[in-house]
Amino acid sequence: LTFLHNPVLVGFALLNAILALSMYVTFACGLFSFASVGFAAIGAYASGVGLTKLGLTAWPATLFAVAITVALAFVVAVPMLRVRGIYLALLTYGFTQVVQVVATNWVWATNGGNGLAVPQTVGNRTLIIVLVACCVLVWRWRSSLFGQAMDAMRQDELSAAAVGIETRRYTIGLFVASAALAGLGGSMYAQRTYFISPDLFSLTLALNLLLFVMVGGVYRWYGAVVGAFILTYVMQWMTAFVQWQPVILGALLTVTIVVAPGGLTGLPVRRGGARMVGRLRSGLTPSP
Amino acid sequence: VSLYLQQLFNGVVLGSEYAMLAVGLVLVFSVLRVLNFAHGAIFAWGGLAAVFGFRFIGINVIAVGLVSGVIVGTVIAAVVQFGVLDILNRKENGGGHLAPVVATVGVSWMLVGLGSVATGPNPLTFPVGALTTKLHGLGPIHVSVIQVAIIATALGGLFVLDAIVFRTRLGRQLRAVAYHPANAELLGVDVARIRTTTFVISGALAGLAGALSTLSIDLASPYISEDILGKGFAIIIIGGMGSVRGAIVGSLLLGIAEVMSVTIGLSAYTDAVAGVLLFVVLMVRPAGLFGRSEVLRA
Repeated sequence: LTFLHNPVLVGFALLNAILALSMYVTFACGLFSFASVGFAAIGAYASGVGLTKLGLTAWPATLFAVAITVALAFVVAVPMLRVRGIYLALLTYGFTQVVQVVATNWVWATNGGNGLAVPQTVGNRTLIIVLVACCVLVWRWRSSLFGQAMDAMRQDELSAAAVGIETRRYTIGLFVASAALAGLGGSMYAQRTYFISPDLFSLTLALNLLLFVMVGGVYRWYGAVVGAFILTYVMQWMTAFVQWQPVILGALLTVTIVVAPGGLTGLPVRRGGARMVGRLRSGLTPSP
Repeated sequence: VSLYLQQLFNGVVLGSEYAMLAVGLVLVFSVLRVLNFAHGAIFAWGGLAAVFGFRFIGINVIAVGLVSGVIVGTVIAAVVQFGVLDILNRKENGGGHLAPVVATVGVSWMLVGLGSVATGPNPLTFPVGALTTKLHGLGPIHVSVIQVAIIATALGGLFVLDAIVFRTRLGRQLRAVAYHPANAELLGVDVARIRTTTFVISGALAGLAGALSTLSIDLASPYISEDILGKGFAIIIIGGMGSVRGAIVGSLLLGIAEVMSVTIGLSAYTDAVAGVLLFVVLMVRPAGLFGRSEVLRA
């Protein structure tokens, strides 16, 4: 079991956990958004450019990355959040595509498809601190009034608005918060793995994050972290029979959705809660 | 001029392939309200099926490849529908409205993985000499048999589809479900059956498109699925989500733009064309060329 404390692997698990948290934040209130991947790319490149071109040191570069990501998130949030559901998924997917295209072609900043070498300035200890800080933030947020408003919005955005929750302001705030986490994660990614290229931030990463969040469970905030850790190791373990890896991961995701929509962390207490929600739902809305 | 004319024709051929792909994606999206991430994988499997069909049957006729592609696409779609989507659909609030979408992501991985297990690391090619590459002069341009087959199949397929959707009872029900599932159900439409039919038709179209594409480039690999799915998504965003006509126009636009990018010497950027086109259209018309904007009002 030596691979359990292989520092590279631990690093990847920590990075995946931060990025998965970012995706969880949008998922938790029902926004199906792939934007996290695009923002992670922006954060990674901003951090890389800050370190290599602008002469910043590690933490200022990360701050710079988060600031840029947040600013961009504010700009794109307003037009994007006019839509919901699948439409938002498509739009954010398009956004991620565009970021990838820019990263490939803006050679001055990104060194194009060859990728950008970044000085390694972050170790696993820093990553652990960052992850714990993110976890505390998300945990406090979930139990705050803001977090409960989010829960209400996930269940029914119109009703939430009807009881006085300012849904528009909240979703924008949430989108930006998720982007900030993604930018932070991306910056950490660049500084930990000291090499970034546009194809790191492709659909594959988006789908991996989705897998972490769904298998870990969307009903608990720590689901994303649990999913990221377990699956990073599972994926590593599966390199022994790499051919079957996508089959197994795909089956895992599909079976999770069909059998246990609450994911791993939703398992023990899922039944009673789900049944009650189901009963409430069927009492409130005409069943189709 | 004749070079550009030739390339315009090639672009239309490529666009026809894309059209068959994108129309299936749009149909499923508007009737099932599911963005089908497995669509690219079914496309790829259609291509694999075409090669396998040629190899096992041994008759080197384009139709063999096309029929194999359609059969495999249909079978996969039926399995996915009954094995996954139908089960989710019957659950009370089965994990929220995003569950089926995420499930198709899992299915897509499985299909690609199974494809790579079945074919090994290298892409498949047709038996040597199975495809005629002879070009026929047609006015100022040259066309191959396969190019004609692609355009003919695409036109035929889209016309049949159009006839089904706008002139039959099934099509009327289908449009009703797309418009408002609950109302359609109240009016006696068997919504579950319509969903199944739509998904299977879309699978057959994807298989057919995959077979055609494989026939024209003589290459089949499960790994094209992500690429093609990205293009399919780009097309339906460009055309306007939920609009069949938009998907066809978007397909032709993308096909021509990609081929022209090669003609003017930007072949390195061919795969970025979809992204750029997407970006431009989203800037100018966020709802897509033929889409109406869906705004949530609270």
